[in-house]
Amino acid sequence: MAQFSCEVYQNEFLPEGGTDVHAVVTITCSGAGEAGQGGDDAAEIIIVDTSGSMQGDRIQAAKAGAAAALDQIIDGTWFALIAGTDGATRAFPYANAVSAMVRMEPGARAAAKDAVSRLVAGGGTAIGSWLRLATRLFESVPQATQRHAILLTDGKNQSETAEVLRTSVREASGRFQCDCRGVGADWDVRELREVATALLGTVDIIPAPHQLAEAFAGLMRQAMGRGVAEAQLRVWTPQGARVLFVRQVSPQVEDLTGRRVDVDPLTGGYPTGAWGDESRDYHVAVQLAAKPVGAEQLAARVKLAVGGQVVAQGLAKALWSDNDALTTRINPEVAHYTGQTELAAVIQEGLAAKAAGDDAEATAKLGRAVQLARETGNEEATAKLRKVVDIQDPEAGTVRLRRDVSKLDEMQLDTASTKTSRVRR
Amino acid sequence: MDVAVSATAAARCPHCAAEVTPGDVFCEACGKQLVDGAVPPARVPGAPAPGEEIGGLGGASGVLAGALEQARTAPPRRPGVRAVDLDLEALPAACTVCGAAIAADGYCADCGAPAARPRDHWSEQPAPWVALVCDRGQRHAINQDGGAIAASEEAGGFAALVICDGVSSAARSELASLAAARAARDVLAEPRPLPASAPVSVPGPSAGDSADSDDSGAATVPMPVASRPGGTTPPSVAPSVPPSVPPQGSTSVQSRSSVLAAALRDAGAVAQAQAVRAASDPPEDNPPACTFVAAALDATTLVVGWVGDSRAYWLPDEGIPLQLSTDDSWAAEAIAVGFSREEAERAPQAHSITRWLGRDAPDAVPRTLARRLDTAGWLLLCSDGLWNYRSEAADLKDLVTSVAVETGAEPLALAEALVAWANAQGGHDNITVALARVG
Repeated sequence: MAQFSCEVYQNEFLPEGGTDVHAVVTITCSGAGEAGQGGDDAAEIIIVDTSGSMQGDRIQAAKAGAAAALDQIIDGTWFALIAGTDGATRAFPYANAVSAMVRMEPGARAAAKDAVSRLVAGGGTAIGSWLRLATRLFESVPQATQRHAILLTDGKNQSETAEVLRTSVREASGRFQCDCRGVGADWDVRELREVATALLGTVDIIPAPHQLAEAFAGLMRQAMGRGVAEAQLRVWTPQGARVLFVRQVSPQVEDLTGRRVDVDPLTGGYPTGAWGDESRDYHVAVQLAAKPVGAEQLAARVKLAVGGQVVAQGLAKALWSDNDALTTRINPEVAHYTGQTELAAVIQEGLAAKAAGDDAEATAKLGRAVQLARETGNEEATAKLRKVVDIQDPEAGTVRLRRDVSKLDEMQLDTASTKTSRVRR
Repeated sequence: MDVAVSATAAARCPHCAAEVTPGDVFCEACGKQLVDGAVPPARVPGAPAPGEEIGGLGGASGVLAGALEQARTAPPRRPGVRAVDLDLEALPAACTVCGAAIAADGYCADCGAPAARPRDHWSEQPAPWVALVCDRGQRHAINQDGGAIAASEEAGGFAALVICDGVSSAARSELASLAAARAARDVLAEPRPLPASAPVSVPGPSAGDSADSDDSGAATVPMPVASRPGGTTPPSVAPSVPPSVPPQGSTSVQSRSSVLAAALRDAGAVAQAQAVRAASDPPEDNPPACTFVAAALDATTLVVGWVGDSRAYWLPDEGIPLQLSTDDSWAAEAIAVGFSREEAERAPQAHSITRWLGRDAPDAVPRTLARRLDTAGWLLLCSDGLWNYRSEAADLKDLVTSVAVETGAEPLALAEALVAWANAQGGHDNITVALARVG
């Protein structure tokens, strides 16, 4: 049985007239078990780009990756394989199969691997059509409440309009989670990030084809380790208060504010997808009406609900004080993740400015990124920034854009921008 | 609010059915013992039976649960003597700000206001002639004062008043103070036979103040060596030292006072045990601690005992008001061994208390003082949250007199008004007032 715990990090003291309460809430799950073992079934779809650009090394690597992922799917899990070009094809179960998805068992695994080996590259790229087929296949197994897909592409969404892709993503969201991976340097990080974000998944780059099998096996292993099919983050705020934002800040930055659904008039619910044995941090900011010095008010109840049941709760409080020593203290967790969130933003904005030819803006943003990465101890970001800029003074954030930057290095910096380092406690 | 009440039934002798004075241990008519210590007290209809749940403990710590456990096992009482234990940890059902429900986490489900804490302001009045009011004051975040009283229904019978002031520099002193006060009250309210040789008779009106029958009287106080900084801090020390008149009353008064004094020392020992119990395991550097002042009185005799700087005053309607207790504070003890008041009070440690209850108490045995009661007046016990603003007995008497003009002589109204007055002076500390109307 999964166990959840909740810890709140904040400085609850507000100065006279203070209104904004910030808290970092860490939710930890243990004993999650395996996907589909908790009573409801799990379903997995592997979506492989088989467009013409995949010919050669890439299609071979993609086949190895799909096979490695199949090996990780636990017996009993519903699964299917989609080959994606300018349309989507169900590569397994075969077109003449009676059901759109089948349960994994040794025979099915062997047959699916056989189907994988027959994949051929050719045609365009229409990611929206792949998602639409995946949505339909998942709908054929209503008994599977935990639904997850891995999507691999090597190119931009050229064979359909951006509008079609957006619509397809909207229709898929809430139906299944999707981790997206791009191989090589010819795909669009922003495009795939939008897909992954909406479908409660991650986006990352697989720089070289030979890294694909390991990456896919890892993704599927992680998905199978999520024994809690779906959990909802709930934020209660008092009458008259305003939620400024709700963000996931670890393991990666994700703004959840706009995903709110009303649980009751004072409580917003935010989907968090499936949980394994893991820990996630959320940054919640609430605006209250100022109260007199000495007053206390509960600013937020942050809860996690599984199947409608609250399994963990933490309290964020406000205490108005005239003691500067208390009110000026900045909570280290809040400071850290505020910095990490800004870091993700300035990296993405800096790279966008660079791509648009605005070198001054790019230099300023990436300089700030160097500064923040140093301040928040994000060594991965610092290392990746170093490949894109020459750092002259990390403390002051003065940098010079490098002229010899590879596209791959820029994309690696971009995809890593939302990954946060944890606070050193 | 959930209330556990225990009391004994009507005051009649079980052996000869003669009417007896509440608080008496032996029947005046037949001379037999009125209550056997082993006999459990009668139940008041509607009150929970001994051992029954008082109310939700709502997140109470183990230590506090222990303190409540103590309170809920109804102890034996003198005949007719009542005590009231409120559940001071219970969450109120509704928010005092907006009226919505209080959630299990202790905050309003609607506006987020913290639930009113019963401990912040509460009162007890087990009989109409006594009252206790305990209040957080204005400046302290929590109320670390504790108190407990018991009394016979009839005025002029038996009463026990206890106040313990939790030392604010130590964590969880509020657990120590409440548990200590309640346990001491229970010991004082226990049936206690007079010595078999002592004839029970009412002393003649000519008898003067009874002597301080205690061996650790205020006259010879050693210079303090230990002190506890940051505790309850008196700004000044009352000059009035209770007169110590040599014994000249009847032996019955002496017997009564020695029985009460013994009860007071037992109560002090039990209070100390409770204060020690509030300490954490493994022990902390600065364990919970509290002061102690208690009074036990019957129709003719009053005995007070104290550890620390919570005080007992005798405020007669006619005559000279007295501070009965002598602070265990550095300044008071320095004055007692010959330092000038000015010299003593100028010292930086002047306001530190020198004795307290708790695991690190250097000496937790109450000093006691006995007195014959032969005039009408108020017995007032208080923590420094009140006397900080009116230290001298005469000034305090004036305050009580002027406040009583508004409230009348009803003890609860008067005690509430005194607490409100201290709050109006700034309420710098927790405030506790206990009153008994004599005569």
